[in-house]
Amino acid sequence: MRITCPYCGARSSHEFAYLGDAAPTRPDPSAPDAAEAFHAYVYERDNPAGPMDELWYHSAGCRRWLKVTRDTRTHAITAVAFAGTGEAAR
Amino acid sequence: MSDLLEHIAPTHLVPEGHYGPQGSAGVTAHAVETPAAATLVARKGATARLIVACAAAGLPLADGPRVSAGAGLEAAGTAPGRWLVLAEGVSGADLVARLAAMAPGLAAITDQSDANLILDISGEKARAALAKGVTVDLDPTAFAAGDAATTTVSHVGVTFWRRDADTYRFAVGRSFAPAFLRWLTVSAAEYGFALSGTGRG
Ligand SMILES: [Zn+2]
Repeated sequence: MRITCPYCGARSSHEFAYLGDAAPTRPDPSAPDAAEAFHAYVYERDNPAGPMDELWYHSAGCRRWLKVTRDTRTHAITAVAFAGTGEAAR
Repeated sequence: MSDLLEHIAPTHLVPEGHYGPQGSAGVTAHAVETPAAATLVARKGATARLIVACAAAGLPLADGPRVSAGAGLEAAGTAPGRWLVLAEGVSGADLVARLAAMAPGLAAITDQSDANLILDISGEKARAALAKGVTVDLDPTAFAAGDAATTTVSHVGVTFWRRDADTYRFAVGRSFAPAFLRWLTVSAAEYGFALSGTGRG
């Protein structure tokens, strides 16, 4: 499998470290339901058969986090972008 | 593989010499007398201003995985807002001071002069030998003179660039250089491999 890094170009997946689902966002720790929200944030994951946004770290290349849209059935990658916002997402 | 390197300690650089069939060398590698080196990393939000400031000071930084030269410096893009800069004939401290003067307050600059072995690889079979471990497409239409890449070769992290039509320059972490040279030697030996600059290993 090759991942086309927005900076480095097409690279072997061996250069990347896999984190997982890009969807969970850190809950507000001061919210009244913080304990339950954090349980879901840490442990609960969907397991879709189809396109999924995932976080990959280009550890052996530019050392940037990427958001990769990958079809879990075929490994076809349809989009890659820098994770994060602002200049970090360049 | 084992025959070729059997008597060479894996902890030492492969000694200079000719490996593989006698005659002309299809691949030549030369360990460059250590140039000064530094990483240049733009401060948050300052990438565009850093590029403008360095260009005004004579060093046109490429905003991508490419190498550029100017003001006696050679800069290879390694990530967004990050470059590895080499300079020959000056000290690491001098290089850091020069870069700091070029881009005051715009970048983090770190002396890396001892960090890498710098190896120039050329020869008509250089691309064929490199293809055994470099997973970046080296076809001239995909990786032209001036292009750079940060990647792994035989599990060793490297930054390399095509200096000109004939020469690839590799920066290899110094403590990994013996392993990289062992990979290069066994990969290039079938074409005749001339290695220089590594002394007696
Ligand atoms: Zn990358």
